[in-house]
Amino acid sequence: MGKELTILIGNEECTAEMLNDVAPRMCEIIERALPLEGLLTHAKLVDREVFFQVPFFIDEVENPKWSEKGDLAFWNGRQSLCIFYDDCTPLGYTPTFARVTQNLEGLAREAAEVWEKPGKRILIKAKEKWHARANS
Amino acid sequence: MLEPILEQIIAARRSIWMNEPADIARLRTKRGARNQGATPLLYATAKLGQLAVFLNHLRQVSRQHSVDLPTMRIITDSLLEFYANQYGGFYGLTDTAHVVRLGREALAHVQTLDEYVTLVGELALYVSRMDYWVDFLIPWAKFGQVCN
Repeated sequence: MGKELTILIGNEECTAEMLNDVAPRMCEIIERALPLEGLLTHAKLVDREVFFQVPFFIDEVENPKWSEKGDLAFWNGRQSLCIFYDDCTPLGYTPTFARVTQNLEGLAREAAEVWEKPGKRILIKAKEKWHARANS
Repeated sequence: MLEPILEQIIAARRSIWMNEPADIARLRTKRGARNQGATPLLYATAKLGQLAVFLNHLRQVSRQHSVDLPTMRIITDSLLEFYANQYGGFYGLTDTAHVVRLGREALAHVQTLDEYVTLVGELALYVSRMDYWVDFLIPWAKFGQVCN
């Protein structure tokens, strides 16, 4: 099982699992950059995707896939962390480093609002127990 | 010296990362044809997005191929000059124009392709960030309804 992430968005707390086995380098870069805070933008062509910019590049292309509901991916072309929060037709294969495992419904509710109200804050951090273990 | 200029660009990016840049307030005051505020926003995001895409491509090409640094420098300088003038002119994005001009200044001190990649990467991060800020101003949902 990969390391777990906590996603805080609006009033919701969600969990995602990192895909360390298929995207080890991406996961390592993301892990080192945690916590990641951002302001969400809604995708304009893909129907159910939000993203936020991060201040680094991930040039390694690992686990490129046709994104599905619950996927967390990275678009290096604009240094953006993408969250596919419901069924959609993506524009292409995207390197994917994590999957939402708990409370995707809550995440989807909050993310859907970004279309009307962009700039919603999001925080992605290491799940408490992992963080505590790493610091012990 | 490249390093001190690079540090200024990084500091500028950090200062606008989570806090709305002063450029945004200036852009909000701009009016286009028929005294409306939509086209300045739409054109500003288009022009910021263009440079962000160009810089990202220049960075990728320089990482992946044995390109000629002097040629890359000439191409990049021309792009930075053009877009700095655009941003600082009609759109009132004077801080953005200043950072892009810092990029031009830094470019003259770049000695290696690695330094070039670092510089265009930093500029790409800043310009993309500005583009995201402008994107927040555009009422995409309402715009979509009008176009239905």
